[in-house]
Amino acid sequence: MAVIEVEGLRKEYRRLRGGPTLALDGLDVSVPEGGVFGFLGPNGSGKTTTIRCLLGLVRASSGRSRLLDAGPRELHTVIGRVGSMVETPQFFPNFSGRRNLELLARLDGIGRARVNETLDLVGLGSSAGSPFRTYSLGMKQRLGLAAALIKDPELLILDEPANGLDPAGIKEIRDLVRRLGSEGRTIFVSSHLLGEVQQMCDRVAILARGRLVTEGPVADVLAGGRASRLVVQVAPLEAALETLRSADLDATLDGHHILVQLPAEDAARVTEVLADARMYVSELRPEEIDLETVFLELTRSDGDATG
Amino acid sequence: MVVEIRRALSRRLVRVLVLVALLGIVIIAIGAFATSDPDAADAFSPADIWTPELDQSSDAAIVGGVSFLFLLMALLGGASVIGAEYKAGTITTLLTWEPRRLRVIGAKLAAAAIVAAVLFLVLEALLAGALAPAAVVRGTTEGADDDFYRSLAGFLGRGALLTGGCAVLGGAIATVGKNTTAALAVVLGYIVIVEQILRGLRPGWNAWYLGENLGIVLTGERLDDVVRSVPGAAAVLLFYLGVFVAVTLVVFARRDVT
Ligand SMILES: Nc1ncnc2c1ncn2[C@@H]1O[C@H](COP(=O)(O)OP(=O)(O)OP(=O)(O)O)[C@@H](O)[C@H]1O
Ligand SMILES: [Mg+2]
Repeated sequence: MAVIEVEGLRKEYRRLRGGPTLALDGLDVSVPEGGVFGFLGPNGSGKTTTIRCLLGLVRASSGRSRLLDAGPRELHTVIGRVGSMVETPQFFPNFSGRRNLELLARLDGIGRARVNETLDLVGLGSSAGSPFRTYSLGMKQRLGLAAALIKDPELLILDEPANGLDPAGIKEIRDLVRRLGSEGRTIFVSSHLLGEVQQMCDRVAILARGRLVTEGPVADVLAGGRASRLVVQVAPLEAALETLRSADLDATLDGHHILVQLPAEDAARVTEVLADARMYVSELRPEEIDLETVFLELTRSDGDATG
Repeated sequence: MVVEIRRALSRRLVRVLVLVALLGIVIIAIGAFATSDPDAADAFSPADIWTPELDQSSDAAIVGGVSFLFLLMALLGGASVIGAEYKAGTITTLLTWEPRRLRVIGAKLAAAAIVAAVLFLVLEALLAGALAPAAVVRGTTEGADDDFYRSLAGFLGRGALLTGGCAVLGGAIATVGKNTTAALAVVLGYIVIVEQILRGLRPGWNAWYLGENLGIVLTGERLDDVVRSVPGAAAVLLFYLGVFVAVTLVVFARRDVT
């Protein structure tokens, strides 16, 4: 069973002045149970809007969204199993972090011990007594995370949890998310930080302009529909290029090295061809594709298609 | 609900309002004690305190005025219960814990009503206690008979209902306007400006104005030129409140929380 299911979701924000904004334009996403699912998209692509629709904060213009098999009207039957954090969470400025958390916890009959435990978990134990208004952005973010975690939820929905955290904090959150994901929980985490998603997630969905661009295991998305290439470093470059081409290999010159369309397993073929021509490679490795390249390519081409 | 009541009571604005009310009570009591002359014909008496006819002696006017202030405070306090959530932006978090919006607002409005009504009774009791020395020592206790206590009970009951209603009204306006002070501005603006203009244009409609009906229920007496009984006025107010709360609930249930 999919933990989150979104089908053809459309959302048009209407405002008193100015035209409507199309935030979601027929989005489809399906999040399987267990593991960390990355929800990746550039600014304004509709990540937060999707999360708001799922949590019933915003009413979709059309389409379907289901959370733990409950539609927007039955949300209350499953909300106790869902922890969430939408954008930078807000709390009462004059109450301490602990007090704010206790107010929420009491709604679900969660006790003080669990509040303190959660505060420690997010590294807020020492400053939990200070008023929320004195918190830094990172501390606010941590308190939001604590509020999401306190129910010990089976599904966690986190909207850019690393926002505003320092590098140490980002790593901490990443480790925490990974650990929670490996405990059998499902974590749906939105981000525009590609490196984050790459290191943290099992699966990823990429969206642009309110639509799904691609979805799948991170490794597959990285390979994303193109042949893998080998980077070859050899001298002299021009002669090597000719030799490779005459051996029927798809080789191109790219700056100070040659790119050959071949999977990594066939790297020996390159060495062989070049060695036959008495040229010896100084470097031979598979081209590293990172999510960033894929992401930029995908979101750009989508833009061209829609104008 | 209990959570909401506790939350309302811990609200800073609510505490400030209560403090202001207590201070006001002390000042009024001292004033009454200082100005009352036991031998004069208008010596301070229980009747002065609890028969808040708006057009009578100055002591009674004080009580009428005080009760009106209590109503405004209830309005403001009720509004703050919801306005504060909007101001802090915590409404999002709250709704991710309880997505049934009618429950969220219902619990808040009910808590506001209960807190306001109970505070009204407590404060009026304190006011009575504070004024008692003036009546006993420097006024007269004559007239503190069964009739007096009956009208007193009636006044307290009606006042508690009105304060509760005002708190609900404040909360409802704050829900629609996403703002605490909007509630006060809207209600005062309506009563002081809109109804005043309407009164000039359509004096015949006075049985339907908020101001008149509030006056009737608060004093528990018919107004000279208004064809409305006390229960009738209460029914009119309740009807207005009901319609307004219903509209509020619909607006809030459909609203995008972003
Ligand atoms: N309350 C609102 N009223 C009008 N338009 C809105 C509102 N909220 C979002 N939008 C618009 O909807 C689109 C999607 O916004 P959304 O916040 O979902 O993007 P996002 O992917 O979360 O972006 P980011 O990475 O910056 O957080 C944007 O074009 C935005 O301008
Ligand atoms: Mg966002």
